Amino acid sequence: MNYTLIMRQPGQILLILLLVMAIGLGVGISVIQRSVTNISTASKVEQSSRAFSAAEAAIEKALQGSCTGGPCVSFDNLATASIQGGELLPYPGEALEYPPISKESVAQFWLADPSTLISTCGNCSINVYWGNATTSPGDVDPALEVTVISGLAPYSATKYFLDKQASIRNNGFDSATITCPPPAPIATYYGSIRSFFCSKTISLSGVTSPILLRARILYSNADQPIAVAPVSPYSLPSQAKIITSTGQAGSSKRTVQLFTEDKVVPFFFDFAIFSAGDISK
Amino acid sequence: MRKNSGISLVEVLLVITAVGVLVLIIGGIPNSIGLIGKAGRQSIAREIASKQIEDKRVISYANLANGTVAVVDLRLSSLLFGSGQVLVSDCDSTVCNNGEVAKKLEVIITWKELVGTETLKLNTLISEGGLNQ
Repeated sequence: MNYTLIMRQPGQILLILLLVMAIGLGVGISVIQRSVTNISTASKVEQSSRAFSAAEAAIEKALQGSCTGGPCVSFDNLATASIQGGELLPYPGEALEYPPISKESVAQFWLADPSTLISTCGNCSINVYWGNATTSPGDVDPALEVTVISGLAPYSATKYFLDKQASIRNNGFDSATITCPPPAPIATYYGSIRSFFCSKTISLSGVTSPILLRARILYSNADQPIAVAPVSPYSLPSQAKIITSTGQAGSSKRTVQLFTEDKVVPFFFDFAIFSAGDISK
Repeated sequence: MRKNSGISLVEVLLVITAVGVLVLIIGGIPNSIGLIGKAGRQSIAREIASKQIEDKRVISYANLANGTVAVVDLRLSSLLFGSGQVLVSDCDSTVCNNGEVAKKLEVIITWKELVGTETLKLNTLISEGGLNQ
């Protein structure tokens, strides 16, 4: 029997030791790495919460008018926040874009001064833009219901129903006078080149004292932006503010943006029945 | 000539190094597992505090009474000796230095860890006619 071959295998134990060490290192390092990641994440999320709360606090101060820009809030938990924006919009001659709204929500645009209801629109025209430039997969093209409220006791409401897919949906909406996509991007507060799904030019010529434009997205389940741009020389009245607040705590920053508009009529206004006298049935 | 068998110095040094590294790594594992647990408890505390702020924001400003209220949340039981309080007070001049009509909201969650006590504090403001008002 050849004991030499069986007994004398120098280095075998070293190999086994290396294997055990490799496994131990692998397990140990993965546990340590996970704990470092967890602690880092928890710490950052905690800082993020402090920053978000500070950002909200700065928005509150900005709404009170006491903070119009720059550093705004400093708490003893080392969270701070600063404000950008907050000026009245839109600027003269510029478009006003509503933040994306969901189906059946209403975007309201004042065509007259919200305080006095005095309109500067004399035979003016406006361009209405709606929808994301590209329709999301699984979603459908948005249609738009526009209501223009005008006159001063009595008030009048003129409705427009706009749909690129009117012939397919067979809903009787207008597709002939809309442009999809709009001829050119427009500039709004949200960007200098804003593209939309469709646009329509609404002439307010002959409309007495246009006051409000209310727009509602139909069909689409995705949030859609809506914008109204005046046709020169008309300018929309100042009516909204966009306040951006950035909170910071540690290395985390959180930004909160608020779109606020004065005197917004609730969404169910369009479905309410108004009568000068009693309604009998 | 007879061959000498035995263990070389290099092999001994390698073994000592390997065992030493293994002991260091494995010795750190319990500490790391403890840190993972701590991170989880910190997240729970943050969620409790954030929820308290959200709950206060839906209350109208006029109904927001000054004072200290204990936090009631089932998740506090996940924290060792976990407790919390919500302090509502008129915004002081260090924060509201322009006479703003606002209340300062402070949520403090404390709990015990293996070493010492941990505290998480969130501060915000709620003003008259502000967010959700």
